[in-house]
Amino acid sequence: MTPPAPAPLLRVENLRTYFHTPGGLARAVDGVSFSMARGETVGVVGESGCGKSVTALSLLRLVQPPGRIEEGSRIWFEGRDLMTLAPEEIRQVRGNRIAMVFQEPMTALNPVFTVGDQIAEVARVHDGASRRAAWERAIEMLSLVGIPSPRERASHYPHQLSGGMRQRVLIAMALVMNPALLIADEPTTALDVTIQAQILELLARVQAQFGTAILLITHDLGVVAEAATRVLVMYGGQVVEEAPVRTLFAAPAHPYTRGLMQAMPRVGMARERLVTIPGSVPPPTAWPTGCRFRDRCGSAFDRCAREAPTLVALDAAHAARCHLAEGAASGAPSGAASGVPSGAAPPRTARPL
Amino acid sequence: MADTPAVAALAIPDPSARTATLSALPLRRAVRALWDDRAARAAIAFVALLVGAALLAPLVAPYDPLRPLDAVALRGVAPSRSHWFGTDLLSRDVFSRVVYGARVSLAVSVLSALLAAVVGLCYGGVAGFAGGRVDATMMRLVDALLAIPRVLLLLTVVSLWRAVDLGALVLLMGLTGWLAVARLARSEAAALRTREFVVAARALGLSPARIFVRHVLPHLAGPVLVAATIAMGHVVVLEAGLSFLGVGVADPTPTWGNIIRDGRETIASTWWLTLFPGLTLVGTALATNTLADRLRSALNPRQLPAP
Repeated sequence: MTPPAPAPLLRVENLRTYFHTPGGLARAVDGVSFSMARGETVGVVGESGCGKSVTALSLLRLVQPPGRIEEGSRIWFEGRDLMTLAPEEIRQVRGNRIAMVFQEPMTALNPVFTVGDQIAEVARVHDGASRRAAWERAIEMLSLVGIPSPRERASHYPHQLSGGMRQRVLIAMALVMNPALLIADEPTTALDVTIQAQILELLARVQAQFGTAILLITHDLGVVAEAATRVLVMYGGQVVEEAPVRTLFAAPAHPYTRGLMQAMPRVGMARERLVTIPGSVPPPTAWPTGCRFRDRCGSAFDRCAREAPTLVALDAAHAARCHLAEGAASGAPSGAASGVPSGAAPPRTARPL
Repeated sequence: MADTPAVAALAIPDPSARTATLSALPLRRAVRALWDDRAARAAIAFVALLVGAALLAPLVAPYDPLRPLDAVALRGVAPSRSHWFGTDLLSRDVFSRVVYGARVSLAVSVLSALLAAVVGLCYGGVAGFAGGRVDATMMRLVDALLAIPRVLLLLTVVSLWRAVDLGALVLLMGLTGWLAVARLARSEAAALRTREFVVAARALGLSPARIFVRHVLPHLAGPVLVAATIAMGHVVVLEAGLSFLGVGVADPTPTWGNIIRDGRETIASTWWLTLFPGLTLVGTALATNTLADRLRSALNPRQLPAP
């Protein structure tokens, strides 16, 4: 197979990550495909257990046994298929061309080293920087992510910093090598709301300054609305809807997306109770046959049990994995079927799920 | 799937307000916690006393531990002001022998515990960090070796060897003592492997060797220190046991086990030959176990102040 023509920064094709557990085969990520351009922010949303984090880990081939990325999955990044790289080669990509920021700033830092030491380590590993040069680089990075008196802070231990500051330190570590892609796995989930906004602002500033593409994984639609330009909605290890952020909020095409939106409080809302999606995500060892969302879907009909829907293109940038969307694609213009008032500005909320 | 529900740190108005309220290093904090505990302090004092006596044995011991003083007049004399622990059947001063015996016992126990700790730390750490089949194979070997009773193994090897010098004894004790340490190190390393900062280190492109040395080993140090302290207590008792059975350190050299053995046939009349070295032995074992126990809680990372 010849590499495709140079185009997007990242193109994931049919990514399947299965966990071969004693309790059965868990298809945590099952046929995910998407692409990202340079400097773009793509949001990935969905409930817990729908495969967002495993997708993120798979991109860097960090999935640990019993998890395995199956044959036929392709991750094209800067013209190379990451799946074919040798262990040393993929290590050259990690932290260097693709970096990752984790959810829990409490636990993602090693408690026994100073934060400066941990940032400097990245420069030492990837740049072969000397101890002194790496330390200076760490201080530079700390000031870049907006930590006051960075020289002093560099010699502090993680437990001496607040959650927001630790998340800044993690972002600093990720940015040391100026990666082309930053994967942020729930970067604001563990933080309180005012700090969340600061961290999102920081990410936006970094992107504007360095042209970093950001894959923003979150279960918070408010975060997506604020930060992303394009959104992937995931359910059951699959992408169920993909759309530019405005289109998604104006005309969500998948019942799951609509459910997520109804479960989100919005400014000026008169209703007291939020509508929830009934039930919870089924275990990945036993996805329902046919459509994986059907037993929680209000619009399910007999075809949903028989036949798994495919991702249907509604227009150039909008696609949904739903039998109803098929009808909408061929018949009425998209958006008309939406139950959500269109034109409303994407609301800013605290975590709705 | 790390989508755990959000544990929001509520109400932190100003991030810079939470500055260094706890500036002490984890180790310093552990030492302080240890010193604040009365039992730990007593254990430290006892061990310090022993170590001091062993180091300064020529100054502390009033007599030569090897030379019979007076085979007729001072044969098996009960404790008195001039012979605190009495004399043995060869008219040697028991107190001097106990003091010099501390040298052997402590040296053997410290060195072999160190050996056991290093071997166990590396072996168990690698197994736990590697995981999977490597881990299973390596630990199966440990299980198999653990099935052989240590005393039996030591007795067999030592009696094949005839005379055992101290170096060989250290080697034997160390190489039979690392299994417990390895198991502990293995379980700690296996738990560390899935900790988020280790995953984060992998995501930053660090090599497995570097992650092991920098992010796994330092976290194993605490638990292994505890295990090594326990191992020290074991070795003291075990060495005395071997000496008592006559297969340990050869006779003229005083060890606690040797002294007890010298008095075993006349225990009814020369009780001091059993009592004093026995008490020292029990005290040492008790002190090291107490120390290990308190170290464990002092080093417990869960007792670090949560921010």
